Amino acid sequence: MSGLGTPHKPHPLQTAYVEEQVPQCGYCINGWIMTAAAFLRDNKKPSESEIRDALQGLKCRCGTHLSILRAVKRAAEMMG
Amino acid sequence: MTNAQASSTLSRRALLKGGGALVVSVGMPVALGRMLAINSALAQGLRPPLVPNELASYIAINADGSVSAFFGKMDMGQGLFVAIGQMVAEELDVPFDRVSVIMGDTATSVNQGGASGSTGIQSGGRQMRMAAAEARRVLVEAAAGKLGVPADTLSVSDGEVSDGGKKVTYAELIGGRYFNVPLDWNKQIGNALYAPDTAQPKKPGEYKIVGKSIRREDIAPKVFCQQDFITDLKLPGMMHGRMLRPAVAGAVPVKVDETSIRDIPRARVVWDKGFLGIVAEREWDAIQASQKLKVEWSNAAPPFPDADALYDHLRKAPVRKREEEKPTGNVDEVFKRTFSGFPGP
Repeated sequence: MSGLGTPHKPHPLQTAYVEEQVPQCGYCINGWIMTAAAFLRDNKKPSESEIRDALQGLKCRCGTHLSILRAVKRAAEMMG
Repeated sequence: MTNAQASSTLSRRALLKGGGALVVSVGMPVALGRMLAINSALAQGLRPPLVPNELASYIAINADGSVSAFFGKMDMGQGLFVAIGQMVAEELDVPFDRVSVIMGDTATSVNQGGASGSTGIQSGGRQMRMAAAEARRVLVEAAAGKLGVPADTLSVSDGEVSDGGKKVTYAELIGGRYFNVPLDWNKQIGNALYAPDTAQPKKPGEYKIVGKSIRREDIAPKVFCQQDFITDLKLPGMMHGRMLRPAVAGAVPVKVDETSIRDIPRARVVWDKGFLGIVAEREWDAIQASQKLKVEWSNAAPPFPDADALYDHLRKAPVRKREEEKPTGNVDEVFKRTFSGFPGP
């Protein structure tokens, strides 16, 4: 994830994560962001259920799943 | 100043910049005449000790009027930096961005317990709220003495105490010096620690800062991999460990064959009764050794059935205590607001 983007040149997912204030502890965000980045690279304008399918199996013990979903949708829109 | 500051870079003493040459002794009731200034108080060791029954253990007004809140818990992602900062700013009537919450170091704060997950705010915030309210009370009393007006004619806004005409700031009253105000402590440490004094905290209806949604400063550094997690920290002389656990609950090691990890010479076995683990300088050595070590475990009968019978076991377990839920709000309305825009799970 450290190669995905920088504060000056963020990946849309990183921007969306900050905008949506997604993480609490943040320990699991590598898995979520990298999985979502690969998914969005290959899937433009995904539906919500497609996003949910793509992220199946990942876990967040802080329970931020709804924020994650919001952020991925926001990033998908930014990537248009 | 940001609200999320690493305490390691800031000592309690350094925060009270501006010399720290005076101790302000404020009793109760407080008047200016009781404010005692002593030169070189730090050098003479007159700084109040870091104990639960001292106001200085929780709150300091710095020389520039900013506030340091010394919090005896740790933010592990619950947003304590924001929540505690809001509570302290609210009670003191200073802007939120003027409060730094300093935590995670027993050299700078008393023991208010662990991170405490979702109860970190309710357990730890209680004391910080009372300490901030007490600091405000003391400062208003001191301002009353200094301005020569009754305390109940004074109000505070952005750290400035005023009766509408005369005014004095927190920084002018105590900035850079320590409170010397004893608190009434319940003699408990950890989550139960509570040391209020005579100040009354605000009523929720009066809140201007608490209840606002304030953005967290730790999100971007996490998203851009700019900060280490605890598992990333490498300290001089640090060892890595791996626990060995039995396949059956309750089993203990009866025989440990240390020769089975002879080819990993830097890994060592630690065995103490039921406790068995590996320590090594390199994490990979510890991982490999923990997988290779030959252990004979005792036969144990676990106090619950096998996995396939677990569900029935739980369903048939006797009820020990039953608590009826009491509706205290509009559940449907809150659900609608929280999940608006999302289909059901």
